[in-house]
Amino acid sequence: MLSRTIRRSILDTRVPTSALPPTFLLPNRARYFNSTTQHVDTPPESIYISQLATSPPAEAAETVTPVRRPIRPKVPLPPAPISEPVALDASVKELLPLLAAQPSHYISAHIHAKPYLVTAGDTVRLPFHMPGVVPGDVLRLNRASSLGSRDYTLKGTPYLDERIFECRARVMGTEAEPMRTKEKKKRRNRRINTVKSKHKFTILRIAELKINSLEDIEGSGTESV
Amino acid sequence: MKRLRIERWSGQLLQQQPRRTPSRPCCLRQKQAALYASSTRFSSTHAGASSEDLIFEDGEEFGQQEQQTRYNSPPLEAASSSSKLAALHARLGLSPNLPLQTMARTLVDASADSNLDFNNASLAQLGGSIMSYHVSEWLLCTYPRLPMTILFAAAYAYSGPKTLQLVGKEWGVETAAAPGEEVDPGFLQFSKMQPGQGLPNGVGSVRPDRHGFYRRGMSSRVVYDDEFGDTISKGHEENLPLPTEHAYANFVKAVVGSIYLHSGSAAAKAFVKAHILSRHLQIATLFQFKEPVRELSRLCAREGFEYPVARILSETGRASRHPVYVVGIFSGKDKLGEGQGPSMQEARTRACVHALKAWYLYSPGSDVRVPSDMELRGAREWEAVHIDMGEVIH
Amino acid sequence: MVVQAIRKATTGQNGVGAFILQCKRLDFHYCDWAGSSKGMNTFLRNSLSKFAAANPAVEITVSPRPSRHPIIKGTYINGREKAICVRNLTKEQILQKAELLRDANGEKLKKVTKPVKSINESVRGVWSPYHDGGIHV
Repeated sequence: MLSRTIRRSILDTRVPTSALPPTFLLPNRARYFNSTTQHVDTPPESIYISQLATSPPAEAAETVTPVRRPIRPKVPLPPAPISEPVALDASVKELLPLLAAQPSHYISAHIHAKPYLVTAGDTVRLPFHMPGVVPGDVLRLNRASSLGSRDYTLKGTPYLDERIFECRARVMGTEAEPMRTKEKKKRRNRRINTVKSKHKFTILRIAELKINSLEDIEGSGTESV
Repeated sequence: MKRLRIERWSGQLLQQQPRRTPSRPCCLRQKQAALYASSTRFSSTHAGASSEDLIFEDGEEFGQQEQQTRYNSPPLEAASSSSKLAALHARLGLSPNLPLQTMARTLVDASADSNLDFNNASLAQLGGSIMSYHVSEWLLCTYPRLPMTILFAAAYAYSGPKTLQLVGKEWGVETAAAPGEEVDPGFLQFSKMQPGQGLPNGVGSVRPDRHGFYRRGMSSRVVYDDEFGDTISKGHEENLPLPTEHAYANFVKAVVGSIYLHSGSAAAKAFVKAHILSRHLQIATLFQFKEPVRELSRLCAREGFEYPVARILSETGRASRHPVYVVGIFSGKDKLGEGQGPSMQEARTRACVHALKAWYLYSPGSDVRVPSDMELRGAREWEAVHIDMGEVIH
Repeated sequence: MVVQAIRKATTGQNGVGAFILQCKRLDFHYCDWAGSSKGMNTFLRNSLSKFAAANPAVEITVSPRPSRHPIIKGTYINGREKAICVRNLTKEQILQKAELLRDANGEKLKKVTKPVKSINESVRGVWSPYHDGGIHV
């Protein structure tokens, strides 16, 4: 009974994206002064909450969305944007609204080929120190191998099309572990070498996990063609 | 849950109060001076203006008075030189439209400075209404079937004083040891309660049915009580010391109110959404049922479903010390809920609770449109949200 | 009364809606005379204003601490403090230390073995032995 009412109600409540871009897309000023010279682009004019209300929404979104950029040659370049239209299977078209209708979702997002099974609001400690980000930055995670809810899972081959979902992570800061020491001793030798290591790790928080509606997905596909 | 007339309130707030202490510049005054020039007497007291521009009503020199009078809150000039205040302003990502002077005013509680021009009482009143409006419209549209008690508790969880204290502390605001003129304006200033002092309990209530023989029912709370279903006390002394959580709550509300005044309603809504509604709450944990089996059968009768029947789905260890039964509640062929427990009664009760929660927590999606979305320019036409009959009464 | 309610408070999820930088204040202490403060004094003279302008959310105080080594002390929203001694460091190294304090969250350093921390309920539900056929012995 309940599942049927939910299903029925879902098919007509496709809520549009609100006209205001979310506040976490606001730029952070801290990145323009760092010890490592990373971001050399000129800052976009600072956008504040109040000005967002007056500025036309599409324009504001465009200025802020490039959340991740090639910084140094060491950092791999983001994959080229997909230009061909999305070819959604008929079964995906039928079941994706049902998946989106269920109350909570998970995604197994890939960062540097490692999967992280997360839901919105989770904290992820990356096993490395991400260069060129400062606390408050927003990354869009566009690689995912599966996306699901309680009853449905959409699996990628091997990855999902990035236009199906929007997953954003906020850089919370950098943490470290307590220093590790390892004693290195060779046989028949008094000398003990003590090796110390203390690594830094970037902390992310999954700020948003949204499944795009079919109209949005197909609309964006035809635009880019 | 109550009708608010915010546009009228802000008009009242902006108007000048009769002044008690002469020649003390006030932060909100500078903008409103032009708007209300005809209706005000002291419109020339600009906050940013130098002392030569000030006009004193008694013709006295400012310096002479200053030595005699000790104000209860920091002066206006201190706001622009306080690094704490500027850092707080930047930490919250507020717009430059919102001056530091107003920010300083939001940190002065009525118990610290009783002058209404310099404390945050009016801003807190305005901001509290805006906040509770956005919280309740979001709750009502997202969970249209919540019973009234749960709705009150959910509103309390999102915007009650306990939560707002947490919010204020997570913003990094500290309290001043004692309020005064010399305090850094970046501290929250209120008069603290002494150890061992009893909590201030409100004198009487504004309800017309104060007598004990009236039952304080749920529907009367919607009309008479505040947004959490608590009675509003009638006589409230502003100068009395108050608990820390109320001081923090007033501050957070005042910040929302000042954003509304300086940056507009869209910014205030975005702020409430980002700081209050983004917090984590499992509404399912707020429920406490007394007679779930009976309530579920009443619900099925009301909605025209078949009478709910409990059936054992699986069991293990019936003869052992710790049996487990899994019981499903069925209405006809539909399974409404299931629960497991060490006895069949317990399992049935849990199954009923599960079914009732599934009914009450129906949601059209967390990003459902709310009435205030219509204020945006170019908003689509409003489609009526789901309105439920209400909770089951038996 | 049919359903009764339990009063609770919501838990904060910094970064989900708004982001609040956890570093609240940075104190820079220096000594005018001692040689270990040389880099610190250069840093205070040349780079601190830029650092402060780039991080408006952090309150920055500078105060002398005569005949002591220079330190940077960070105060965090959770009430903890972290202090780093920057004796004999150059101004670039001091900037890195200041950024380290800015990026930290104030918690005590802990060894973390699981990468994902969550307060949400399990999306797919917890496995139950009584469903899906169970185990037939």
